[in-house]
Amino acid sequence: MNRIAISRRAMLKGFASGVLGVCTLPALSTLLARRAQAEEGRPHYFVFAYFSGGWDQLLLFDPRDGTQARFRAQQAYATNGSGIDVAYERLTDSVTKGLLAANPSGVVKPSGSNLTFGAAVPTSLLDHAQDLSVVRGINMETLTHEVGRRYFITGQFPRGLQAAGSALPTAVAGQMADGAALPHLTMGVESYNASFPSYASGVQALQPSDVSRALRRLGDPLPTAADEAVARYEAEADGCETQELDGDGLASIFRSSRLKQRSIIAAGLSSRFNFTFDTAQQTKEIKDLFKAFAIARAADLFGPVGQAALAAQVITTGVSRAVSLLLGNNLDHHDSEWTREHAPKLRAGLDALARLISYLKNSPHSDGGSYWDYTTVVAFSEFSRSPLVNGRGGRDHHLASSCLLAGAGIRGNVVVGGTSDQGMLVESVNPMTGALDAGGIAVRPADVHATVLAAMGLSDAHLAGQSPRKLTALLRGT
Amino acid sequence: MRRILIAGALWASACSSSPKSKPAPANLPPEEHPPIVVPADPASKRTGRVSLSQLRASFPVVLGNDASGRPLTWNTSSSSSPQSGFDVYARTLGEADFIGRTEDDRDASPIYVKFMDDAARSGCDQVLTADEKQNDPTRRTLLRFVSFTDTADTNSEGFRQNLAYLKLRFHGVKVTDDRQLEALQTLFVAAGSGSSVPIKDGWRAVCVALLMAPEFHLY
Repeated sequence: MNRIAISRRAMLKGFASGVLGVCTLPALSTLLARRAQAEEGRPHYFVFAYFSGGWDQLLLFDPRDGTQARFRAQQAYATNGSGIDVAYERLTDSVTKGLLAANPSGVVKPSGSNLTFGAAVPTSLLDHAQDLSVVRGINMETLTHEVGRRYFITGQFPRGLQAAGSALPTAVAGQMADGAALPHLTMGVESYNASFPSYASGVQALQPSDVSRALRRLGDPLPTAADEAVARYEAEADGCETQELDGDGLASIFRSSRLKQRSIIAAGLSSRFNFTFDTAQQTKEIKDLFKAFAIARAADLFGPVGQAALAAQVITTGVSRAVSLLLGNNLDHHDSEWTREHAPKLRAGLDALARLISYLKNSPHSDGGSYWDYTTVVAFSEFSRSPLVNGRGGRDHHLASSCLLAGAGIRGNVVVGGTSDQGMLVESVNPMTGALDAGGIAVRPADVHATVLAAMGLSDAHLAGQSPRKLTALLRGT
Repeated sequence: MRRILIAGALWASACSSSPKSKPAPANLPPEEHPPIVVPADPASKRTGRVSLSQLRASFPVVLGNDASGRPLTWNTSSSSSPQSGFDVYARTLGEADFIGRTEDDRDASPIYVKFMDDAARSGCDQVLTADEKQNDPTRRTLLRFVSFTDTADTNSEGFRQNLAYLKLRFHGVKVTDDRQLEALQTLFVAAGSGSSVPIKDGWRAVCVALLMAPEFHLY
C-alpha cells in the first residue's frame, strides 16, 4: 500500500493556511456579498444586434489572408485544397474594392489588437477594437434560417421551427427591476418569453413614432375629473368576478399593468421620440442625435442608423433596458448579389453599431461614467456563409458562425475559439482561455448566453436544461 | 316499505361513505414509473388573456353600430380615413403574422393595457356619439334604460337597470346584488362632477372602466 508522505513543513503550512482561511472567510464572504449587492443595484443595458440571413465571416470576424494561395480559388477547390476561397477579387462595391486594393490580404489587425477583422468591418468599429471580443466557430447545428435564428435568440434548439425558451434580451429585462417603461424593445427581431415576467416580453417598434405612440395617449383624453374617477375606480374596485379570474395571478398582473401604464404616460417621455426633420420642431437633443448617427433623411430612420439612434434614445432616456435591433437585413446572398451587396450591408450595420457605441460612450450616466460602462452588446446572425463560392457566384449556408461581444462585464480584445483552415470547420476551445484545444468544447449559443448573463451579473437558470458552459476567458474580473 | 328503507340506506351509504382502500395484493410487480399526477388546475382551464383577433371581433359586438349601421371598433387616425387600431398596432401588440411570429403574445403587459386604454376611449367616444343620434332607446348601446338627462336621483330604477345591463353586456356578468353596482355608480357621479356635460362624461367613464376591467380582457 502506498503511503502519502507529508513533510512537517507542508503540514504546518497547510495548518496555517487553514487558520488564515477560517479567519478571513467571514470578511471575504462579506466582501463578496457587498460586491453582489453592488452588482444587483447597478443598472444594466443590453443591445442585441441581429444580422438576418447569414453573414459572411471571411468578410467579418474570421477572415483569411487573401494573399495566401491556399485561400484562393485555384487551390481552394483542388482535391485536399483548403476549401476556403476568399474570392475578394469578385467583390464589386467601390469601398471594399478600395480597401482590398490598399490591403490585398483583406485582413485588418488594428494596432495593439489581438483580433483580426475582414474587409467589411468599418473603420468606425475598428476604433473600438480594444472593447470588442469575438467568439469564432460557434456550432449553429442547422442550416435553416428560422431554426438558426431562434436557436441563437433563445440559446435553446427550436422544436421543429418553433422557438423553445426565452430570448436573451427577455432574460436580461426579466431579471431587472420593472422600472423601465418598455423594458425590452425590439425592432423587427423575433422575441420569445417562456418563463420571465410579462413586462420583459419584447415590444415591437418599427420606427421612432411607434415608441412615441407607446408612451402617450392616442386619441382624445378623458376630461381630468373623469380620468381621475376612472383611476380611483380601478384602484378600488375589486369585484368577486376579478377575484375568480385571479387564480393564476393574471388579474393581479393586469391590474398592476393598468397602474404602470398610467405612470408611463405621466412620465411624458413621448416628446423625446419626436424624430422630426422639421427644424422648427426639432429639439437640440434630436438634432444632436441625428448628427451622431448621420441621419439626414426620413428613409434613414428605417435603416440601421435609424434603429441604432432609436436604441440610443431608449437607453439614455431610461425607456428600455434591453433592445433588439435588426442591423442587417436580407443577407441571404446565394447568388451574385453577394459580390455587390453583402459587404456594403454588413458595413452599414456595423457602422450603425459603432455609432451606437460611440454615442453611449459620450453620454454620461447619472451613476457615474458613461452609459457604455453599463451596456453589453452582442451582434449575431443565424449562421455564416459557405467558405466556397457556389456556381451562381454567391455563398450558401455554413454551420460555423461567429458573434461579436462588447461592453459591460466583457473583457475586450479577446478571441475565443476558431475555425479550421480546412473548410472553416468548428474547432474545440478551452472556455477558460479561449484558445483552441482538441480536448475542449464546441461553443454553442447557450454558452454565449450564459457568458453574457454572467457578464451582467444575471442568472442563466432558465438555460439549466442546456448545461451551458461559460466562456470565462471573456469575463472581466476572472 | 322495508325494501324501500333498505334501498334508501344503501343509496345513502354509497353517497356519503368514503371509498374503502383495497388491501394491497401480495407480490406486486415493481412499478415502471411513478404514478401520473393530474394537475388540479390543468392548463386548459387556466385564466387567459383575449387575443387580438378576439378583441377585433368583440368590440363591434359590445359597442354596437353607429347611426349608419357601421360596426364600431377602435379607430385610429382621422375620421376621414379611419383605420382599425387592432390592425395598425397588431405587430406592436404581438399578433402572430406566421412569418416572424407564429404565436400570439397573450401577456397582460403595461403596453398592451396602454393600447387597450386608447381603444376603450376611442370606442366609448364613438358609442356615445351614436347613442346621442339614436332616438329609440332600445337601439342604443350605452344608454338603454336612461335618457341623456337622467341621473341616479331623477331615475334611480332606470339608472340601476342600465348599470346592470352594461355589466351583462360588457362582462357577461348577471348582477344579482345591487352592491355590485355601487362602485360604478360612484364612478359615474365622480366623473361628471364639475363637468358641463356630467351625464355624458359619467357614462363615458363607466364605458371606459368596463372596457378596461380584467373581466373584459381575461377569461
